[in-house]
Parts: sequence; structure tokens; C-alpha cells
Amino acid sequence: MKTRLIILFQFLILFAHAQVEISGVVQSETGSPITGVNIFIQGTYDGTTSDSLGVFSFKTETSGEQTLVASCVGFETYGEQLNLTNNITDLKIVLIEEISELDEVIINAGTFEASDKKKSVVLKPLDVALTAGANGDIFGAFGKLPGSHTVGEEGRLFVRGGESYETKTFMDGMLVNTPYYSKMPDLPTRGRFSPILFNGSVFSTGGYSAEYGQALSSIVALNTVALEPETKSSISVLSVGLQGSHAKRWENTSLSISGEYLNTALTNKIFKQNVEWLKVPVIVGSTMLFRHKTSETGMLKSFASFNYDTSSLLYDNFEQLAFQEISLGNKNLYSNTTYNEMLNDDWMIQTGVAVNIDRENMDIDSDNIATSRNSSQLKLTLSNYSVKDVTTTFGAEALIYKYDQDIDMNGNFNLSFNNNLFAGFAESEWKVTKNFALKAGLRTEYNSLIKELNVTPRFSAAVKTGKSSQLSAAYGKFFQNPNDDYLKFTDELAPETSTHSILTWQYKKDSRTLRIEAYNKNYSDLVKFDEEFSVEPGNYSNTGSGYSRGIDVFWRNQKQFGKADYWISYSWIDSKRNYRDYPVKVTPHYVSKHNLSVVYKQYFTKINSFISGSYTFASGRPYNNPNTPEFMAGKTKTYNDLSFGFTHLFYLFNTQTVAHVIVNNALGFNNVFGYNYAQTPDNNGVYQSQPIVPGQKRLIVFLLSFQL
Amino acid sequence: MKTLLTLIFSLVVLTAAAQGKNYEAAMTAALEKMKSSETVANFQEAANTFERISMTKTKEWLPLYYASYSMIVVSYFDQDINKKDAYLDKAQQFLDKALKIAPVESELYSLQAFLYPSRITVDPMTRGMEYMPKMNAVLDKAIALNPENPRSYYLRAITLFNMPEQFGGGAEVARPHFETAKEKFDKFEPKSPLHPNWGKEINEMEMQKL
Repeated sequence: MKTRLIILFQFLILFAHAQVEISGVVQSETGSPITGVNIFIQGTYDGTTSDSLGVFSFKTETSGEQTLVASCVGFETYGEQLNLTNNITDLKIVLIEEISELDEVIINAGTFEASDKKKSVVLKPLDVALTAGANGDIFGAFGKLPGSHTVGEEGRLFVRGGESYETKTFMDGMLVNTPYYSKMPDLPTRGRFSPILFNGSVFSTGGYSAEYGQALSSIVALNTVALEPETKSSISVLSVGLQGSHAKRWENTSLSISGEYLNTALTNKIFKQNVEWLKVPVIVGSTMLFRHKTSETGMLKSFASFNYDTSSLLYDNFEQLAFQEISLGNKNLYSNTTYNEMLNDDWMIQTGVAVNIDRENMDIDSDNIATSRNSSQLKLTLSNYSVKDVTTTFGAEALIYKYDQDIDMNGNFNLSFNNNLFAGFAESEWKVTKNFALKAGLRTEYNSLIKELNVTPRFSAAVKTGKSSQLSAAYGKFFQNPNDDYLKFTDELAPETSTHSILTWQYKKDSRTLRIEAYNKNYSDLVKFDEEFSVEPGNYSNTGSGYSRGIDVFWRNQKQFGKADYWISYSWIDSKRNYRDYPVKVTPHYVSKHNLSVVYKQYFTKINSFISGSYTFASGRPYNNPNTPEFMAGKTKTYNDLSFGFTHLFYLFNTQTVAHVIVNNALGFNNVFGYNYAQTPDNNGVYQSQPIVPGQKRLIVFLLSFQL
Repeated sequence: MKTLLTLIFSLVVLTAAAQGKNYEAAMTAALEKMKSSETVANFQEAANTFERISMTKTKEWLPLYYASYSMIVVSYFDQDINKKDAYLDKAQQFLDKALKIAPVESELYSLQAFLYPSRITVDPMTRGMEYMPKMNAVLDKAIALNPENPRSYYLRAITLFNMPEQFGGGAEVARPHFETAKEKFDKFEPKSPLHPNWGKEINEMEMQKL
């Protein structure tokens, strides 16, 4: 009996808790009600969800000191100690909005980033691959962003009044020394790597991180894809050749190989050439990507590419009033292996090795120039995250470079040099508050050839100026060794230097981005010479200087899938320099004052087609007319280009198929890039000239790709 | 002495029983509510309820399963693209926790395949290429772990059905998968009334559209 009583008593204890009612309202910092908030007593089932007015009310059987928790997607979780003895009413809970990646302050002065993962970026990797007029070339796509100039006869990136050699390309953090195919005089080249290899890229037009050196103007940092998503193959038939690829995926490993054979014989026949080809350009290329996931955070990547290009043409050398037979052959092997891993919660290691072997052979009539450029690089970077909101990175690298040129031209000459570059860097980024971030870095380099040790500082900062806008600034000093073309004659030169100051304002809300960037870049120690190709070391000096200043504007409206998506990029630049054999400080021939690009894309779901178009405008470029006393006073007419791309997805022979057509210069603008003048005047004392024009007026390329 | 032992013993048993009852009762009630849900707010509420249960019952994967499921439904409902990812991040958190508790549970891999298409709707151009292979991989795993789980077949069928023919989808491609799903649904018996048992009706509804 007594036992029963006890049991009964226990029941009472267990179930006879007094119920307490808790009610109130949940609001945001601005006082608006928050719906769907999960409000509960920690450790119990007791709780509820706030209604459309933010109001909540629930009962609990717990008592005493308890923690009330309020959590909701998009807000920081809230906790409050409550003493549950009596009903609690009119509780007011204020939830603080979580800083999403989109709203976070981000240091972006001088930087355009394309990424799938980050939401703060203004470009996607697909934008790079599918920009009309870029011909599927990464550098071509970046050429449609503010800060770069259209230099049609080069095909390389020219950034903010800088020459193309002032831009360096990196793949997974490792230097790519020869990122472009070889180049015929007055005809453009293109990048060696397909944009589909990369799932992220950074195009920096200045003020970049201390991790990168030996670039006066700009860097292009490309990140290769991680594991291939699935085993697949594809074969493509182009009007200019064949491409094929196969990827194999295992649990934590993937391997993909691809090969291509490109030959412009057919298109050269269809589209009238302004060039007399003796041997049409042929490219044979192959790539290999091996990826292995070593752990949850560890990734081993190995990349190798080999390509070979050859062509031959009859060059109208107007300067020397002679036709020359020029043949070009280039073999290029590039390989890198990188390994990244989180060592523990605080440390990340990134390490890599890269090798680049490049052999170029140029025959000009009976003369021959054979150039070999070999480089190997080792790099180690450590990042530390142990201090909250601070990321510190430091690293070291060694770059061994061998240049060797054999010239057979009225005798045999050998020009060669070795340079070993050792560099160390440290950089720290501190998110002081959610609205303010600072970054400071230092880079030091030693060059064995020119025996120069230098230290360069880099600073950048960003501050939010509103919920959707921010101001970012960067300052940095940059060194770059003189070009191979000078170092092969003399090692008594110092590095060329530039100083960047950049101020960027960005507004980004929903689908719209507006970016306005002002910059000033000063050059000093640029190489000057009295006579080009002179073997006299005394001919060269570091007495050149120059400046670039300008404003870049970028506007993008990226609507939802299936809607129009476009961007407008405009650059105004004022740039002058006195370098090479210039007699005075002038705007160099590759700089056009105004550059405008409008890029449009739209996916039409009903017809499974993707259409892209681009219009590029550049104001006239200076050229030197020896018939006038003033140096570099001529101005070409404006450059215009309207290009299209059309992609259609369908099924052919039960195989998923992509048809792709690109049309360059659809309206057939007669563009002139500059003029070549005869070195000597004719009988009337006039220097005759000939315009430098594109290889062909229009170009149409077809591609049919089968996904097997 | 005997009395004291009885006291302690009965207290332990009673508390345990009460808690067990509590869990089942709470889950049953929450499931009832979820099943009658029709709006974003309803599903948000269901997700919240399951989340609360999951925090007390840290060894059970079912509350996390339903919290994730409800959150995924919310993400499909909500048209705000910026919010979708936030909901899905939360749903993924629940799912990841559940996978830690039950790493070989077929239903969890099916649920992952229910989540991925919602990610794709945010940015189909870019994400389709990334998530389609992932989706196929988790469905393969779900089927390998339990070939009798009908939801894996249904999810494969509905994805193929909604995919344009040009990408390898369409009604004819989806049909056999719907049929397999129907067979499996007809035979399916959940382990307990709390275990996942959804999809039969919607599978049949979608089959009508073929």
C-alpha cells in the first residue's frame, strides 16, 4: 500500500508541473516583425514559431532558470536567461541580421573575380567562356572588362597603359611564363588554355596581393577545376579542326585528358585573307588533369599541357620595302603540381612546383632565330587563421629562368642569360568590423642576374558606405625585371617599377552591379635605348618613365535565368610614357583613350539556345607618322566590332549535342590598328605608309560537340 | 530498504517511459502538422518543431530528416533567389547532422537528391552542370543502400521528367522510373509510423501527366 502511494506520488511529481506561458514579439533591428522564428526553451520540445506579425506564445512545464532561444534563417541566434516562475508576457526579442556573404565588406580595388562559389563576385566562369567576340579565349573575355585596351593586332591583354608583358598569368598560384601561342608580326595571338579548365579566375588591373610579383600592371590568376564531376567523353568537330576529351572519375580521384588539332585552311579559303599564307596556321595540343582528394580538406592537382603551333606567311615588310617569308614554329610544355590542405583548424598549406619549356623557331627568309625559354618554380604558402577575423599568409618562392637564343643572320650569334629569382612575402587581412577591412603586405625579391634586392609594400582597405555599397582602396609598389629582349644584351639594368593608387566604389544590389574605379599609376626606371636590337650594353638604361591615370566604369544587370543579362564596361585613360627610343613623353601606340564594351547574353529556354552578342568600341590609337615633325602625333580611326555567338542544345543520333556558331565583326567594319611606314622616303621625300589591318575582315567559326 | 529500491527503480522507469512517450508523441504530432501543411509558414513551423525535437533527441536522425525535408519544401516555395540558398544551407546542416548519426540510411541520400534540384533553380546555367552529376551519385548510393526505398526512384523520375529532352530528359525517359517507383511504393512498408513514407500520391499524380 505504502509502495503504491509512493508511485502515485511520483506520478504527481512528474506530471503536475505548473505551466508557464511565454508570449511576445520578434522584431528586426529596424522594428519590422520577423516571421517563422523558432522560439523555444533550450533542451525541451517546448516552443513555437512566430506568426506573420512576429507574435508568439507558448506554454512550458519547465521552471526556474531557463534559456529562451530564438533562431531564424538569415539572423543571428538569440539567447536569453529567463526565470520561469510566472507567466511572461510582452517579451520583445530583437534579432540581428546575419551578415551574409553578399553584404560583407570585401577588399576589391582593382580586382574582377569570376567564381561559382562566392556570391560577392560580378562574373561567373561561364561568362568568361561564353562572351561573344572573345572566341573562347580567357584573355579575350578579360579584354571586355574595364581597364583593358583593345589592341587588335596583338590578341594579348594590355592593361591600363601597360604593355602586354606587364601582365602575368598564374594557374593555381603558379606562374605560367608563356601563356600565349606564338605570334606573327601584325597578327593577333590567343591564350593556350581553354576557359573550361577553370572554375574561378581573378583579373586584377592593379594593387594586387603581395603573393604576386614581377608584374608591373596586372595579374590573371586562374584556378583549375577540382575533381571532375563524372566520367564522360566528348568529341567536337569545328570548322577549324577537331577536339576530343575524356574524363574518368573515381571516388576521390579523377583524370581527364584532351587533345585538339586546329587548322584554319578551310576558313582561310572561305573568308578572304589579308595575309598571304604559305602554310596555314596549325595547332596540335593536349592537356592532362589529374586530381586526388587526399582528405576532407586536402587536394592534390597535377596539370600538364603540350602544344605545338606552326605557320608560314609572306610578310609585306613595309619598313624595309621587302616581302619576307616568315615561318614560325613553337613547342610548349607546361606542367604544374599543387597540393593544398588544412593542417589543423588554424593552418593551411599550399605548395606547388611548375615547369615550363618553350622553344620557338622563326625563319625569316634564310635567317633563323631559335629561342628557348625554360623556367621552373617552387612555391610554398602557409595561411594562418588562429586570430579571429584575421588571415595571415606568408610564403616563399624560387623561380629559375634560362633564356637562350641562337641567331643565324649573317653569322651565328648566341644570346643567353640565367636568372634565379627568390622571393618571400607576408600579408595579413583583418576584418576590423563587419563594415571595415584592412590588408597589408610586404614582398621581397632577389634577382641573381641583375643582383637586385628589393622590398615592396602593398596596402588595401575597404569600408561599407551603405547596405549595398562600399568603398575600397589599394596602394602598392611593383617591380618587374626588364624584358628578355633587353636582358639578353645586358645585365646592367635595374627592375622597372610602378606605383598604383586605386579607389573603387561599388554598388551591388540583387542583380545589379555598378563599379566605378579611379586610379593613378606611375612608372619609373623603364628601359630606354638609342637603337633597337643593339648589342651594346651601354645602349640601354633605366631612364624611362611614364604615367597612367583614368576611370573605369562597369555596370551589370544580371537578371534571373532565361532573362536578358548584360554588362557595359567603359574605360577612360590618360597615359604617357617616355621609354624605348621615344624622344619625348607621348601616349604609346597601344593606348586608346576611350574603350567601351557592351556584352549581352540570354538563354532562351523554349528553344534551348543561348545567344550572346558584344559590341566593342575604341577611340583612335596614336601612331608615328615620320612625315610630320611631331612624334607619335597620328591617330587611327576608331575601332568598332560587333560579334555574336549562338549556342543550341539538341539531340542528334541519340547523343547530347551542342551546336555553336561565332561570328566576329558581323557588320564588317574596316578596322585599322596603325600604320607601318617605310624607313626611307621615296623620291618625293615622302615616307610611304601601309595600314595594319586584321588578318580577315569577318570570321565565322562552327562547332558541333557531342557529349558521349 | 525495499521501498527505497522500488522508489528509485520506478522513478527511473517512469522517467524513461515518459520521455520516450514524449518523443513519439511529439514526433507524431509534428508529422500530423507537417502533412497538413500548405503554406511556407506551415512548413517553416514544421521545420522549427522538428528542429526543437532534434536538439533534445540528439541520437535520432528522423527529426533532422523532417526538419531538413520541411526546409527544402520552404526553399521550393520561396521565389526569392537570395533566400533560397539560406534555406538550403540550413536544410543541408540538418541533413549533414543526420548523416553523422545514420551514415548508411538510404532515405538521407534520397533527401539529398530532393535538395540538389532546389539549388539548381537558383542558377540553372552554372549549377546544372555541377549538381546533376552530384544528384545522380547520391541517388545511386540511396538505391545501393536500400533498393526498396521508393523515393529514390520517384526523385530520379521527376527530375528526368522536368528536364528538357535536349538535356537527356523528357516524359519517355522518365516513364520507366515512375513505373519502378510505383511498384516500390505499392510494396513499401515504413519501419515505423515515424519513418519516411511520402511520395506515393505525388508519384501517381505526376504519372497522370505523362
